[in-house]
Amino acid sequence: MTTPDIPADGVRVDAPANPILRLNPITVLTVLLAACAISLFFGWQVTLCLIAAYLLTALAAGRLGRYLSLWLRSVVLLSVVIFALQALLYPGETVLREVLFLDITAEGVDKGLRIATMVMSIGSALILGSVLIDIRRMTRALEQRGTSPTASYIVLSTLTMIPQLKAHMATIMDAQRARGIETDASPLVRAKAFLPTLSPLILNSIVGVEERALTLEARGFSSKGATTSLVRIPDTGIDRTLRALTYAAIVIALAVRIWLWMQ
Amino acid sequence: MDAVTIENLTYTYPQAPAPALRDIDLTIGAGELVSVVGANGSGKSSLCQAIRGFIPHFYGGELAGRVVVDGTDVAAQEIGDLAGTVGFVFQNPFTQMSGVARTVFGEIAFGLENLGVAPLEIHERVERVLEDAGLQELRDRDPMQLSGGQQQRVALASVLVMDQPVLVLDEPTSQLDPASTDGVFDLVLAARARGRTVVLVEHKMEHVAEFSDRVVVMDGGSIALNGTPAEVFSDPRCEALGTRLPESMYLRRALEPSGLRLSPTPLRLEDLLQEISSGTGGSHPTTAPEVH
Repeated sequence: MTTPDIPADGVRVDAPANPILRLNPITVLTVLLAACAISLFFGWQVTLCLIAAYLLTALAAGRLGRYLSLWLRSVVLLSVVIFALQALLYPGETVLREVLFLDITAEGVDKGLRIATMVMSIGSALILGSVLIDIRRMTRALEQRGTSPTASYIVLSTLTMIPQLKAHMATIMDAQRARGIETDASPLVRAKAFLPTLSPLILNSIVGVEERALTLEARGFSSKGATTSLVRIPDTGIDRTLRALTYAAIVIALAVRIWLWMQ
Repeated sequence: MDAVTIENLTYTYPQAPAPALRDIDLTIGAGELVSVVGANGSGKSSLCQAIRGFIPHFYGGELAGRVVVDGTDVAAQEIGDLAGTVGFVFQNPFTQMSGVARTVFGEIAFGLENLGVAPLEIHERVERVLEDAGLQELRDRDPMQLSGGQQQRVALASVLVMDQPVLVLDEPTSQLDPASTDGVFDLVLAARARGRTVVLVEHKMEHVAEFSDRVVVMDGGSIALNGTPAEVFSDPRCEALGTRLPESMYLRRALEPSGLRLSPTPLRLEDLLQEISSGTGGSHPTTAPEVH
């Protein structure tokens, strides 16, 4: 049990110690979306530089392990598969090498490289966002900027409900097992056991939604007056500067891209 | 002063063939604890929903008559704005967690944030309720990870913190063990002691008999009996309406052939046992006089 000191105005500033994690989530999102866009303007060389920057950022935030784990299992794997499929299957005249009955063509390699680069540039940024952005901080930051509390509620309650639904599903499966229904055998048997769990799960969820809606009404969620919050997400000079630099970077990148096209 | 006034209330849910509430007339004084009992489908929960304004605002349907709570005509008020007038607690603890708060403290503060209460006042009120509800130990816990009894105490605390003059509790202990039930009743009684009006739907008749100022028995959407616990539970119609009596009443009935002189309506088992051990049916503070 802890009784934290109450701030003078009663509003706690949610600012983690790590300078990267302390950034306003809107700033992080802005920078990453801009990085995505910029990488799409240029080739794989820029994407490579950005990925290096993402890795360094994850390291600075103390989340390199989580980032690498997610990144390698999703984005890198997907990019490799896409590249391999394109290289092997895309038709072309310049055959670089024969693999069994398939030809690796220069056109396929080129196309595979372009698509894989695109996946890498977008996916790597999104994964970094998921590692750096706390969704609660994000919804609060958006609310501070005037987003509807209802939208925040939907996002947050959905995140909370997913584990609850999983637990409920496990309870139903246990009940199925207790009745002697096989649930752990082949995929087909598991699928047959899974389907009957859906109706109680869905019906219970519907009943739960009605009660939850009434609970929210009972707590004044739809009250028309102004609301207050006990937590504030800071939007510092660093945040504002970073966002300004990001907007500038987009404009410069766009100008450079147009200039390159015109050469 | 009356906290709740219901006049000629008849209500039918959308597409329902018959009214769920029929010609209800009920007045509840400020600071009273009124228990509503009756068989399943008798209209107890519908009556609670009407007092809170969920009927007709949330459910729709046809409503005739009037419900006035703390001077406010419920039908004329926005459902969200009634949150400051009537508190409501449901029977399922799990669905009463907002799903957005990471801690018990945040869960209890949620309603006050919605009502725009100043942050410093929110801290003050939440701390007070945490103390009163014995929830200090749980203040930093995730509300979704608590037991049913703990969640129900948090749900009740989340309503108590809003300081509404009227509390409506719809079977708040139906899913709780005896110890958790006592914990919830402690909170309810503390709220009444502070002058809050409480409307309680409850099936644990021992608690109803012991703590209620008045008991209302519902049947088929109407009020069948309305009186003090002693009056209601000694009325032969009460059992006929499908309402279970407190255990002490059954025991007294079983002991009648023994010739022991017992009070006519011993509402608490402890009182009855005391009378049996003393061998007489002397008057007791919690036993009511015979109702004619």
